[in-house]
This record gives sequence, C-alpha cells and structure tokens, in this order.
Amino acid sequence: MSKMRMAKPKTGIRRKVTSFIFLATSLIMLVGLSLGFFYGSGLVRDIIGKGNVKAAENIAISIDMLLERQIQNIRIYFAENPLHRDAILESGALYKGRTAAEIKEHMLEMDNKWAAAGADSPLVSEHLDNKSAEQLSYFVSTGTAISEIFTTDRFGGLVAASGKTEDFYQADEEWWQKAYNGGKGATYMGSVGYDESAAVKAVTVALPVKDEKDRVIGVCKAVLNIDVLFVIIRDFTIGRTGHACLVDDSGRVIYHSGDEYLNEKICSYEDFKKLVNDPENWEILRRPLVHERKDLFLAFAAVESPVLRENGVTWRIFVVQRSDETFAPIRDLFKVMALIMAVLFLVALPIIFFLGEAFARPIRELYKATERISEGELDCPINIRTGDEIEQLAVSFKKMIAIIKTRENDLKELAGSLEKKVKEKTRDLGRAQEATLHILEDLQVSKEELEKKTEKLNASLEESERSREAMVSMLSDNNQIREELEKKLEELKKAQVMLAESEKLALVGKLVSDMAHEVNNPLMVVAGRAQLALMEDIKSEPVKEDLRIINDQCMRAKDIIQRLLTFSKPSKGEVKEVDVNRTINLVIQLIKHQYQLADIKVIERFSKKMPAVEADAKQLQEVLMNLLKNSAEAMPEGGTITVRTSAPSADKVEIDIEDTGEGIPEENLAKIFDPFFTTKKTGTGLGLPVCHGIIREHGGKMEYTSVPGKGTKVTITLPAGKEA
Amino acid sequence: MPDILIVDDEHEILYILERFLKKSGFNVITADSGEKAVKIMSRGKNVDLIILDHRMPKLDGAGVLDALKTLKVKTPVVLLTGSISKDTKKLDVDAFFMKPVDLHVMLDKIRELLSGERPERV
Repeated sequence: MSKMRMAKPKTGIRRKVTSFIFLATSLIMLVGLSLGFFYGSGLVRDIIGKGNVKAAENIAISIDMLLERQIQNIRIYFAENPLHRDAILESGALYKGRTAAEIKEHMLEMDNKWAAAGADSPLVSEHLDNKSAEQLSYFVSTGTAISEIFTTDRFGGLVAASGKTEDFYQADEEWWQKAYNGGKGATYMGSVGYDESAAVKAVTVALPVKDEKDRVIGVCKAVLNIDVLFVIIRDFTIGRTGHACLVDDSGRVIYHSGDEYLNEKICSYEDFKKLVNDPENWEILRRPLVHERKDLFLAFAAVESPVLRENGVTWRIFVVQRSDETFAPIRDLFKVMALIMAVLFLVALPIIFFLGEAFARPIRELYKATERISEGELDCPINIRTGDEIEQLAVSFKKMIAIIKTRENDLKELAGSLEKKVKEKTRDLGRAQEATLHILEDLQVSKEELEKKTEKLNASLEESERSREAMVSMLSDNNQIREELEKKLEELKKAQVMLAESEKLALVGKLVSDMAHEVNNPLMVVAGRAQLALMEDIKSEPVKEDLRIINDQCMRAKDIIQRLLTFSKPSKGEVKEVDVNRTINLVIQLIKHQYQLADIKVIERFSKKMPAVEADAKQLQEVLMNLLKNSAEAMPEGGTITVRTSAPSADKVEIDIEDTGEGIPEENLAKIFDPFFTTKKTGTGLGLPVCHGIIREHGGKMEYTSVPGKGTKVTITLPAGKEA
Repeated sequence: MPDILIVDDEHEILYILERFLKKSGFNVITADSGEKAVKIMSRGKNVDLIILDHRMPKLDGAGVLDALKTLKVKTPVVLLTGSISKDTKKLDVDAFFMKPVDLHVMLDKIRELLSGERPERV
C-alpha cells in the first residue's frame, strides 16, 4: 500500500471560516458606523442650527424692543414736559422777523463764539444751566441708556444741553436735517460708533420736538450708550467660544462682546451676501476673516425695527461658534459608538473562533481518519454526527472502506492460492529441468551441425524479410488510394442527391407558376361572368345562390394557387461558407460522363487563390447545372465548355462559363432573363430567370456576351467574404 | 364620364371588364395587345386610367409600362396578373390585383385612384 502522505493544507478550513465571518462582521460594523455618523451628524447639525437661529431671533426681538422703548421714552418725555417746549419756542421767537440770511449769519457768529467760549463762560452756562438743561441732565442721570441729550430750535440753534456740545449751530448736521425733515419731522437713527464727548460706544438718535398742535418746533438729539442697550448681546454665550454679535449690511461687526473684532468684516462681501440669503439662516462658514480663520458655525436673525427700516439700516444678530466646538458632541458620540462596537467585536471574537472550530472539527476528524486508513489502519472508527453534508461524506467514506476491505480479503485469498500453485509448478519445473539437462547433453553433440545450417537459413530469411517489407509498403499505398476514392465517391453521392432535390424543387416552382398564369385566366372568366350575372335583375334566389357559390369557389381556387406559389418561390436557404472551385468541380463531375457521350469537353481553369463565398451551396449548384446544360444544348454537334474561376479583388469572385455553341442573336440577348422567354421547343423559359434570381439573391450579378455562330460566355460575379 | 383603357389578350376578360365598367358608368376603350395599347396612348388619347394585363404575348405588361414611361404618360395603372411575385411588386403601378378579381373591390380602388388623391408617379 502506498505510504505517500498528503501535504498538510496551508490554510485550514477553520482559519478560512473564521476570517470570512470576521471580515463580514467588520464590514457590516464599519458600514453601519459610517452611515450612523453621517446621518447622525446631519441631524445634530440641523438641530443645533435651528436652535442657534432661534437664539439669534430672540436677541433680535429684545434689541428691537429696547431700541423702540428708548425712542418712545424720549418722545413721551418731551410730550409730558412742556418746560422744554417753552424753552424751544422762546429761543425760536428771537428770530421772528429776520430773513433766512440774517438768521444764518447770526448762527455762524454764535457758533464761533461757542467754540471760543470756556466751560464757565456766560454763553455756555446760559445753555447748560437753564431750567430746561437742568431737567435734561436729570433725565440723563435717571435714564440707563442715554448718555447725552440736547435740544435745538427750529432754526438749529442750541436751546438746552445735558453737557457742552461741540457746535452751537446744528442745522448743518445730517441728523438735524433728517429729524427736522423740512418741518414734517422724522426719527433719525445714526450708525454705531465711538462717541468721544460721551466716551462710550454709542448710537445717535434724533427726534422732532412738537407742540400741542403737533407742529415741529425743534429737534432733540440723544446719544445712546450701546454697552447698556446691547447688554443682552454682550452677555450671550454658548459653551467656550459661542457668542453673539451685531453685524451691519456690509458684513461689518458693529457690536461685539469684546473689542477685538469691532468694525472688522467676518467674511468677504460676496460670501456674506450668500450667507444672508441662505434660507435656513444658518451655515458653516469656511475660513472666515475673523477667529483665526477657523471654521465658524453661524446662525443669524435680522432686527426688525421700524426706526431701522425708516433709516434704511439693516442690523443682523449673529450667533457665532467655532464649528469644532459645535460638533464636539457628534464626535464624542461617534467615539462612544466606535468604542461600543470594538467591545462588541472583542466579545464576538471567541464566538467566531468557536463557530470556525465547530465547522472545521468534523472535517479535520475525517481527514485524520483518511490519513490513518491510507497508512493501512482500515478499522479506524469514524464518528461524525453533524447531520449535514459532512456526515453524509463520512457515511459514504465508510461504505468505501467496507468495499476496500472485501477487495483486500479477496486479494489475500488469491495471493494464498497463487503461492500454492507457484510452489507446485516450481516442483514440476525442477523435475523438468533435470530431464532437460539430459536432453541438452545429447543435443550438444549435434549443435555444431545445427549452427551451420542456421547460418544458411538466416541468410535466406533476411532476403525474404526485405521482399515482405516492400510488399507491405505497396499494400499501404494501395489502401490510401482506395480510402480516398471511397471518400470522393461518398461526396459525389451526396452532391447527386442534393442536386436531384433542388432540381425537383425548381420543377415544382415552374409548374405552379405556369399553372397560376394558365388557370387564373379561365378562373377570371368564370368568376367575372358570375359577378356580372349577379348584377342582373335575377328574381330566383337559388340561381343567385348558385352564382355566388361559383364566384366563391373561383376565389378559393385562386387562394390555393397563391399558397402553392409562396411554397415554391425561390429564396436563399441555408447560407454558409462555400468553396467555389470545389462546388463547380462537383457539378462537372456529375455531368462529365454524359457530356463525353455527346462529344462535349469540359475544361477547368481554376484560380488557386479563391476566397470563400457566403452562399447556399444547393442553389449555386442549381445555377451551374442550368448554365452548363444551356451551354451543352447550344452545341448539338459537340464542342468545348471552359469553366474559369478568378478573384479580381479580395471581396469578389468571378465564374466564367464559355461555350463554342451557336450563340444568341442580339435581339434575344436582352430577353433571356425574362420569364417564359424561350427559343427551345420544350423549354419553359424559366431556367435562366431562376438562375438570375438566385444570383441576385446572393448579391451578385450575371452577364451574357455572345457572338452568334462562335459561342456564348456567361460571367457570374459574387461578393466574397463576410460581406455577402 | 371618365375614360378607362382595358388591355388584355383574352377577349373573354376584355368583355367582362368592359361590360362591368360600362355598367358602373365609365367610358371604356379596349386593346387586345400591348402594342395596340401603346399605339392608343401614343396618339395622345385622353384616358383617365389603364387596366393592364401582366402576361401577354410579345409586348407584356412590364413592356407596356416601360413604353408609357418613355411616352411620359402619367395615367394611373391597375395591373392584373395571374400570379403575384417579387417582380410584380417591383413594377411601378398604382395597384395590382391577382386574377380572378372581385370586380367590386377593383371598382372601389379605381374610384379612389380617379378621385385624384394619389401620389404622382415618377
């Protein structure tokens, strides 16, 4: 028994199963984790975005309310304190009767005096210490957000102020003109800036002061301390980096909890436009111009205040946070998820290994058993109870072992009996050897004599061997020739059967076509007469019925003929690659003998380099047969038919059939392809049209040239190669 | 009344067609050979439609069609044939019928052709 051991497999089945489960699980977990992360982060971003927008909206509403309340406060203050109105009216009354130019001159003079006046000059104290000014100072000290306030009359001259103003004459200031508004009055709101006189970041508002009859009698200007006004912005924070700021329409920061980014742009104007047009009102701004160019998570809301709208100012509250801080919770979540997955995976590992082992164990046992059996231990037990294909394998294996065991026993028995026989034979041999020795001794005597004779015999044997070899080679040559002949004969028989079949078909076609023409005319007459009769005024219903039946039966006959025609109509049949030379040769072989009897010689001039033609071999043979027949019939006294083949180009082959017959008169040459045209007594006039049809069907053409009295040549051109 | 030229070598068929078409209200001219038909047409006879037999001795239907083409006659042609084959379908005619013909079906076609709603033949 063979001792060959199988090499231990490099990758165990356990490792394969374990790796497979391991990979599959990892893949599922990874995909799950990534999907969870992307979906989760989108969701969280949305929630945070909406939350921040809400916060920005709340701040915007508060700012709006504070601003409006301040303006309203001032308005009510002046309405409720007639003292100020009286002071303004009194100041305005000074200019009564003067022209505008005179007033302007006076104002400029006052302006110069005012600029030159010291803090305790009578001019200054006149405007800062009067009753109205005292009240204004008190108003400033009680109000939280107002840092400075003063009033002018309707010509722009200062009336009373809470502190010394820069100018006396105010009518040339933008705020004054807007608030006075040509006597109609409007609320003015300035931009945010640093007010030097009040030493605060401030915003200026100016309001018309009106009398009881709602006429504008002067203007009041108040400087609002925005540190107080915007305290809600200053105090707003989210986490470590989240804060709020006020941004104007050009993207410039006009109020910020710290001073660092004041008056800076948060991003380019284009980006800002894109940002504020975002329908969600929140966005992640990449590489902003502030906050060390770190990505920012921005949410915003516009301050919807009437006074802002009136002055064409747009303020937006931005809630700003560094994106890395905003998304920290998502990243934390992801980390936790990954950790859980990793732990789950570690827990799953032993299970995977266990599964792999459970799968591999029975196979390993089976393998061990086969190893032991191959070493000759046929009684080795195999106990596999897995209930699956592996158990089935073990069972079949056991069956195989049983068979091997019986075979082995049989062999052992045979070997035993053989041994016995050999022993017997050896004994017999020993005896025979002795006898042979005796004979050999006798033989030795005549051996020399024998040797001489043997030499002679050898010589003659050698000679006969040589002649036998010659004979054998002759015979094998003979066999080869015979085999080839048989093969050719077989091919010839096949071709003959094929030709007979196609000739039969052509005959049927001809017959039906003839019949159609010959029979349909009389049918037309019968049916026509019946139809004409039916148009007459016939009273007898049976006669009408007879006529109808005559007509119907004629139509039936027509249908039958039409069906027959369809059946026998030639169409391209089975198309395959055809060797033209071989096909022609087959046809010539068939007719050669017959033609020899009629004293007609057929000469083959075939080109050896002929491409194959895609054609129906049967139909091609039919065409050649017909043409050869026509040529033969043109030579009743005998003659020569020359068949040539050539390939004028790679995609074309030509077949020429030339005879030395009587030729075709020129007037007939044009009609030879017309159906039923014939010059023969027995012809149907269908042979050539059918041939022509077949060649045309193959995408080729057929041309006749003829010299009466000398002969006719027909040239067939067929497309070669796959294009056919 | 429209004029119709019937061409057929069988007198029986000429008779049937002539009687039927006259009864249907047409003026009928007959020709019992292709040559006669061509002769009639070459004389500039005003014919509205030609009914032409396909198979005739000497000048057949196809020959007559070729001759008409040479004469630049554009009269609509209805071909009658004993058998409809690929070659018949290739002929430049306005309609063809296989014999025996249902005369009333043919009449419908003739009236349709005479109503003028047909593409001009090339």
